[in-house]
Order: sequence, then structure tokens, then C-alpha cells
Amino acid sequence: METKQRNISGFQLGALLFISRYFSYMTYLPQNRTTLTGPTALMSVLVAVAILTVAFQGYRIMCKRCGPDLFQAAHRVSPAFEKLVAALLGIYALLISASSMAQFDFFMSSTIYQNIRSWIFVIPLGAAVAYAAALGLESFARMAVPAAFLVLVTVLLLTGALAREVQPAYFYSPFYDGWGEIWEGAIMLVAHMAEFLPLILLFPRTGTQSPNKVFTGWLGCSMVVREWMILLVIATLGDYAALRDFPLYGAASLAEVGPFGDLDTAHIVIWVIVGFLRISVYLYCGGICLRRIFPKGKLGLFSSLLAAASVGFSLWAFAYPQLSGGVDSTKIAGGFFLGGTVLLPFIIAMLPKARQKEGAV
Amino acid sequence: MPGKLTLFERKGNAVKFLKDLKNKLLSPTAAYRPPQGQKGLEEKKLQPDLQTKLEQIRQLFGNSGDLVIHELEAGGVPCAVLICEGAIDTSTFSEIFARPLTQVRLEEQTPNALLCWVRRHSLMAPDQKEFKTYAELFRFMMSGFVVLLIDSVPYGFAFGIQGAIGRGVDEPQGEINVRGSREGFIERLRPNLALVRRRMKSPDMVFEYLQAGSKSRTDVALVYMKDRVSLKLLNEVRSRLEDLPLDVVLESGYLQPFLDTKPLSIFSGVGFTERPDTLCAKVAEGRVGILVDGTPYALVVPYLFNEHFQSFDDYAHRPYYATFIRWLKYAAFLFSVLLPGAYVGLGTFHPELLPPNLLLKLVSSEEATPFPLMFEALLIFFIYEIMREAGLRMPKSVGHAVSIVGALVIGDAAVTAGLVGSPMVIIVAITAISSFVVPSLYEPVALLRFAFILIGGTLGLYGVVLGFCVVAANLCALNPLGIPVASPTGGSLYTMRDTIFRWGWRTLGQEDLYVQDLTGSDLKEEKTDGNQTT
Repeated sequence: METKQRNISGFQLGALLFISRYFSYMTYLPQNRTTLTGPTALMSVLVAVAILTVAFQGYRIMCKRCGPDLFQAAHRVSPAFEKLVAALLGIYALLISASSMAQFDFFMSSTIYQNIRSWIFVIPLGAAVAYAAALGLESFARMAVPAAFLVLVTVLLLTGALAREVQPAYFYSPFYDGWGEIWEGAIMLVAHMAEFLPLILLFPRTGTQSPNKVFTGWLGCSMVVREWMILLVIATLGDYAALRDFPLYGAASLAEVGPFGDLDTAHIVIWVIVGFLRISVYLYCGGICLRRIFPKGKLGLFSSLLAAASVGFSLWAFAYPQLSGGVDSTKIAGGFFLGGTVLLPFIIAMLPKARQKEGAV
Repeated sequence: MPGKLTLFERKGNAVKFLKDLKNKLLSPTAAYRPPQGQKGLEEKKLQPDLQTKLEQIRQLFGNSGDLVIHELEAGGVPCAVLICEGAIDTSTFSEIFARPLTQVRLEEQTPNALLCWVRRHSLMAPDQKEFKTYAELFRFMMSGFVVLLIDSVPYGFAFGIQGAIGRGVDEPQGEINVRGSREGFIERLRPNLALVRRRMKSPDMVFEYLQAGSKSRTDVALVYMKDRVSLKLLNEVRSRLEDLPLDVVLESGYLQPFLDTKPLSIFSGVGFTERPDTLCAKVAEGRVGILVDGTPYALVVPYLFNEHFQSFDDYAHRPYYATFIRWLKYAAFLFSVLLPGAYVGLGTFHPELLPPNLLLKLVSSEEATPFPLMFEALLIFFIYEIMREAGLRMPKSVGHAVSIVGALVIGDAAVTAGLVGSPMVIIVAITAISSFVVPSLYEPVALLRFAFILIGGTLGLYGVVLGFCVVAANLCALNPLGIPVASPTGGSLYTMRDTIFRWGWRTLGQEDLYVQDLTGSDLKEEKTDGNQTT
């Protein structure tokens, strides 16, 4: 399917990462405790930004010393090490795509189509994302820019529509629960920041050397939107947001835009687009990791295999929610985040063998 | 155990069976003959002796009725004039060709003297060429040239005095503009080239002739600006046309699949226009135009998706209005593809998402109809496509009758009989009108519409949006000849100055836009300069 590897722009990568992050705002379930809600979350987002900036330095140093391609740097250390790195990151990518699909499935079958079996959503989604990943990075990266624009328009529309529902009484001090809670919220947010993976794996495809612009642009936009969504949810739902599944969808259902009715239709449309893009990105990342391990294999085959695995996981997660919930826990997600996307680039940067030769591009 | 196959053997057998099946279904039959070229003829040189040449021509032409050979003496030298009956302008022939040739007086009555006169002292046609092979002789003759063969001379002369067979320049029917030119391409190649040249009086504009089809030898002209086109792009287009595996090329559509990178994709990276001014504008942006003799349309490669929403009038209107019209076209495209599917999806699976008043009206209208919403939509669109096709192919007077009958049957009788709900008729009407706003996308729109109705009826709104994502991914993955079809989709507003917006000429004129410089282009590294050779 993918006939030739093509570069994408930094802007497209940033948009893709923004979309991926937006998915996690949409799929937020209070009982999973992947992040906080309420005014405390406003502060924890700011702390998380500081932690993420520090965490990003590992990859920045690697870019300076070894070039932006993590796999190439690992290959210079040894081909076996490259395969090991690819396996670790491939598992991480598979985990994220599988859990995203499970979250998507849960939303569809619990909120939108309550009487329909979950495989009806998951199998078409699996086929669609496998197809997109097999087509190559540019197929969904180019799509991400208009999708990000659409998301921002929806956010504005939602803000306008919810203006009448704002209750100032719902606001209280973000420090009300103390610094411990803020800190915990920040850690949870950082641990689930899986976008570092596509950032590291796909940044070399932008053809630029310094990742600072993409990182700053993506994190800045994502966190501003995040803060805004938190404010919106607090202002309209208050503490009820902490009890409700998918609080953003709850807020969208409240919003009325003149004769067109609620904004939940727009929310569903955005949800599907965002879910499609996010899962495609991680399947593609998984595919390129597998290709590092099996260089002769085809991306289309890898994407299909990973999509099938994600579909299987999603169906299992739907059947056994207690067991599968652990996969998305802060410990596991945080472990992969720290090990795969923070420490690994830093360790590679420190290895003398991994360094780029003078004049090498 | 004997006879029991291992897993690998079984797998091997299955693969073999699938390969055989594929060959059976998709490969040509045993009677298939691959395209036959005229390689022998290409190399066959003209002999000096006139009678041998004429004998050979008669033999090769198979005594075809339209071959006319006049044997005569010009200045005392035996020679022959060959024409294809009906292909030349007879009055011009007698005036500027036959009369000078028959009245010539030579100092020496030798073939060389006649040759010298033809070459240096005569001006029997503005378009005069020399050739050495039989293949060239036939090609010129069949293109309406008069061929002169002189005894003892091992080459021939061709004089371009073609007759004007076919219609004159007319208003383009498929791309009507309010303020732009009223001239459109016609079927003949050379007048089409003149229409283009008149609009682009620059020596950088090049027309390069090729032949397509090993039997039909159809004249094809590549149109490009040598200082703006990417050499890589030009060479790729040229090589694809030269390697065309076809015997007969009668229309530019024959070439289109060979220029597309993914010919099975629902969208094409090859565009077409019947307006010379549009072709000039495209070529000025570094694209390659392809004009084919016999086709009143020019192909344009590469063709971006957003170009379907541009029209020549956009550049005559003020920017605000032009931008508004573009948005209108994008909306019309989305309506024509998604509206029926979304209506079916919402009506079947999510009626609660509709505003209550609208929902009540829909329910009251649809409850009397006997079919489910999806079937109703499929049926009515199928009938609509039949009527459209009938209206298109039939003579104009009958076409109107078809439209009237269709409108009465679908719009009135079907609703009155309770077979179709009136909201569905409204949806069909909006969709049908919307699909004509962007006529160049009608083919994919018609197919996608059916697909989205099916998806909407089985998966609801979720399926429609997911299907849309797949179509968008497919579109974004297209890179015909190295340029992304979806470009430019990102970056600053400036990059979109002539896509979803149409900025003023003061801004557009600041920088020339070259198609090879677009984001994601494989040809980006290559810089064009005015001195590149082709």
C-alpha cells in the first residue's frame, strides 16, 4: 500500500499529536483516574507542562548528539539493540492503540448505541484504521490539519453554546484539595502522555533537525485547549462532572445551538474523526517498529495484524472491564512513558557509539 | 501417513489455487493478442525510384479507397502527389500547391534541380516537412498533409494544407463562465494549440508532439512552460505516454489511467478542462497539459483536489465573493456525498439527535411509506441515476421529456402513492443539485453517495463519519507524479491563499505558485530555471 516513504511537515505532525491528545480529553472516565477533574485539574495541568518540558530534554539531547532518528541511533549501537528498542516501543504503541480502541468502543456502546453489540463498532473501526495505517503516514497526517481546525471550531461552538449554562458558584480555589492532589493529578496526566511516542518516532519524517518547535506548538495548544475544556466542564457541570462518564459529552448534550438542537451530533462526529486519527497513528507507529524487527515485512500486513490485536483487546476489555482496566493504569502507562520515551532517548544520547559521525546527515 | 498433506503443503496448494483463480478471472484469454506496433514500418526507408515507392505504398495501404495518387511531371521531372481523400483543403491545394508545381520551369530538368526548387524557391505551404520512412509518410498523409515524392530522391516532402473537417471553436459546454472567454477546445489538435498560444505569447511555452497508440498513431501534444515545469515531472509524463501499451487511442480518457499513480483509487490525480485559458493558468503553475487529437478536452497533470472547486470566474470576481463561492462549492460537495447517508443514518439509528420539531415532521411523513429508509434512498437514487443517464444520452428534445416524466413520477406520483416520503424527495433534490455544482467530481460523488447510504443504513452516523475518514485518508494518500493531491492542507493561511480562500490579485501576484513547490511534493528539491533543457 505505502509505495514510498514521504515526509510530512512539522505542522502536520503537531496537528496529529494535538488530535491524539484531544481524544484523551474526550474519553475521560472519572472512575479510571487517568487525570483529575474540577478546579484542582487546572493547576495540575500547569505542573504537568513543567514536568513534560523536563522529560522532553532526553529526546532533545539525543537529537543534538545522535540525530532525530531513534532507530538509526540505536542501530549504530548494535542491530540487536535496535530490535530491542523497536520491540519495546512497538508494544507501547500496540497498548495505546488497543486501549484507545477499547475506550472508543466503550463510548459508542455505552452512550450512543446502547442496544448494539460492541463488535459492530470495533471491527469496522479496526479495518478502517488498518487501511489508513497501511496507506502511509501522509494519508492521515495531512488529514490531521483540517481535523484539528474542526476540533477548534467545535470547541468555540461549544463555548458559545454553553455560555448560558455557566454557573460561577461551581468554581472554587484550585488549591482547595492541597498540593498533594495537584501533584498526583500532574503525574497521572504525564504518565498518560502517550504522544511522546509518535513525536519521537515520526519527528524524523518532518525532515528538520530540532524538535523544539513541534513540541512547543503541540504542548502549548493542547494544554490551552485542555485548560479551556476543564473550565467549560466545571462551569457547566460542576462537581457532577466527577461522577459522570464522558463529562465533555455531557456538556455537549447540554449545549443548544438555536434550531439545530444539541451539540451531541457534532461531538459524535468529532469523536469518530479523532478516534480514527489517534488509533491510526499508533498502529502506524507499531507498524514501523515491527518493520525494524522484520525488515522484509510489509507495512500493510503489520498494520492489519496490529489492528486485529487491538480489536481483540477491545472486545476482551469490553467483556472483562475489571481485568483490562489495569492496562491503562498510571503505573503501566507511566512505566512505558518513562522507560520508552524519556529514559531511552536519554540513554541512547549518552552512548558514545550512538553518536552521529561528523558531517553525517 | 501417506496422502496426508502437511500444513506447508496445504498452504502452498491454497496459494496456487488463489493464483490460478486470479489468473483465470483477471488475465486475458488464450486468444488475446498483445498490442501490435508497426516497428517494421518505422524502419522501412523510402527507395529512390518513384515507381518502387508507389508500388510499395499501394501494397502497404491495401488499395484503400481514400488513397489518391497523382503522377505528374514537374519541370520535366517525374514525381507523384499523394493525398488522403477528404483530408485536405482542395481550394488551397489547387491555389498554392498544384498550380506552382505544374507551372514550374527549371533551368536543368533533373531531380536535384526540382528538389532545390522545392526546398529553396517554392512556398507551397507554411507547414513543410521532409521525411525518410514509410511510417512518416503515412502519418503525414493521414493527418491531412499533401505528400510529394520525386523520382530518384530517397525522401519525401509533406505540405500541411489540411482541410477544416469538424466544428469550429465554440463555447465550452461543461465549464460555462460568466466573465471569462467563450472559447473552448475543439476536436482538432492544431487549432487547439493556436488557442493556447494566443493566450500565452511566450517562447517558454512549448508544444511537444508525441504519437499515442501503435495503430491509431493519434497526435498528442504536451503543453508546458519550459522555465516553470519540473523536469522530473515532464520526463515522467513523457515516458508514460511513450510506453503506452495501447493499439488505439481515440480519446484523452484512454491516457488518463496511465498517468494516474493509483488508477484504482476513487479520485483521480489527472484533471481535464475544455477551456484554453484554464489550461494556460495551469501550465503557468508548472503543470503539464496534454492535448489529444480528436478530443475537445485537455488533460492536466498533476491535478489537485482543491482545483475541482476553482473556476476561471473566481479570478474575475472580487476576493470575498470568490471565497464565498468556493465555500459554497465545498459545502455542495459534502452535501452531495454525505447528505443522503447522514439522513438515512440519523433517521434509522439516532432520531433523538434531531430537533424535536423536525423529528415530528419526518416521522409523520415517513410512517406511511412501506420501505425502510435505506432501501427508499437506494431506490430513489438508482432511479435518479437512470433518469440522469437517459437525459444525457438522448437527443436534447427527448431529454427534456425524460426530465419532466421523471419529475412527475418521483416528485409527485411516488409521494402521493405513499411509496416515498416527501423529506426523501427534498434530500434527493438538494443532493442532485449540489452534485452539479462541482461537475468534475460527479463520478466519485455518485458512487460514494450509494456507499454512504449503505453505510448509514447499517452503521448509522458512526459509519458515515468513519467512511468519510477512510475516503479522506485515501485522498490524502494520493501522490500522482509526486505531488500530493490533497496539498496544500496545512501550514499558514498564506499557503491556502488560492484554495479555500481566494486572496486578492495584489497578494497572489507577489509570488508565483509552482506545483512542484507544494508541501509534501517529491519534486520540491529540484529548482527550475529559465535555461533548463528538455
